[in-house]
Amino acid sequence: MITAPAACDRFAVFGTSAVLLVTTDSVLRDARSLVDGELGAVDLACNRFRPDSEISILNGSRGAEVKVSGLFAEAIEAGLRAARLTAGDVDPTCGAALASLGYDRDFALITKSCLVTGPPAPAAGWQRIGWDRSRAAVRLPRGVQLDLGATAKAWAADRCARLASQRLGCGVLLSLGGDIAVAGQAPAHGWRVRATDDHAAGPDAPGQTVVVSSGGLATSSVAVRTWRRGGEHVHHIVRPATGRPARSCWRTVSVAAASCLDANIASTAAIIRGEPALTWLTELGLPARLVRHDGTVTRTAGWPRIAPDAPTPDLP
Amino acid sequence: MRNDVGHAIASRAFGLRRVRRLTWSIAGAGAVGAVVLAFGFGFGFGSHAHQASGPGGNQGTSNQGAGNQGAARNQQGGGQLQPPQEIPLPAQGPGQVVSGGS
Repeated sequence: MITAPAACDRFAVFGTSAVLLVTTDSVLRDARSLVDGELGAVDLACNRFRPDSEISILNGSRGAEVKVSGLFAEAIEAGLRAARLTAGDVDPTCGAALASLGYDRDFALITKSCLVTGPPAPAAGWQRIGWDRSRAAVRLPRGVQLDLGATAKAWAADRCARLASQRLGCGVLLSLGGDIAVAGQAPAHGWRVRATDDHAAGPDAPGQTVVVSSGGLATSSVAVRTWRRGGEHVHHIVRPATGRPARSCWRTVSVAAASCLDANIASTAAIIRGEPALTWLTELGLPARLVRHDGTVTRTAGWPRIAPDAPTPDLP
Repeated sequence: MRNDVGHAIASRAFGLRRVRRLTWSIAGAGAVGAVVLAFGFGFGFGSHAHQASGPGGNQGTSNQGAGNQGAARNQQGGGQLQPPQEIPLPAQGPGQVVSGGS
């Protein structure tokens, strides 16, 4: 067990905030360098607000086949996996739906009350993506817009944490906007994670602290990344079938899984599914903390209850 | 008369052998066809993954970027969402990091 305190670096990325923790002080700078390089490559592949990105080129391909890089191929497959394992509740063809809601630029640039940009646009459906893995070639039907926002951040967190841990031989935790991936040997007391509504909240915000040692933990919430569209209050978690923000009985859902990607797929799908998510998460054995709009908390698959008073280990 | 009876018996035996041989040929061909069809439906026809709708069509990865390809396959493979190796443990006090919506 590693008992040394973790070294910490905080920075901005993907229009949100990131936290990098490593168990060895001396490698923090190298870890940050590796993570920066990887996130830069992911941005060039998956950022739909960047005209030179692979996803922008694909979205503008008007039905033509596009060859993609290995990195973008993996990102596409992560999105397709999410769709397949949630029966389409998390669908990468929600790009047009998000654009019609006004989310067609970096979130920081969306005005508080954006113009109405058109009627709701249901997702085209992930089955319509023509994906040839053997040739790393993809074809989108005309009018279909890919958006990997539901999976790319968590997938990138897994990649970065794994890469830094393997290259530097230490324990790593990386949070990208609250999507948390863990790799390598965790500290003796594990990594202490506060599950709450907003990743930008303080470490003691209303919520619950848990300890994780491997895999990933992700939280989805309709309480953040919200804006007004015309006179309507909207958020970024879209129900693919309608193209409208999901109306969920859950305000916030946190899930622990073997990877950050799986945790994020489950937390997003749980918001969209509403009440039936309880049975779904339980059957999958995914520990989750689900918070209703009135603050009532429900737990599944062994997610711990609030710990009784106990001495708190020092934080780095 | 005796020759006619012998001839009739020989002809009957010959006919039975032909019918038996034909029956076995048909049965053999059916069995081979069934195996080929089963293999095709189970593995061959769905494996090309031209369309994203095939079951398991996006398992594994074609990752050529940084990181470990084998590990990436493990991360994205599997027919269902994978639970964690260890269930989160309860803790008191603030977190080192916050997981929330973004």
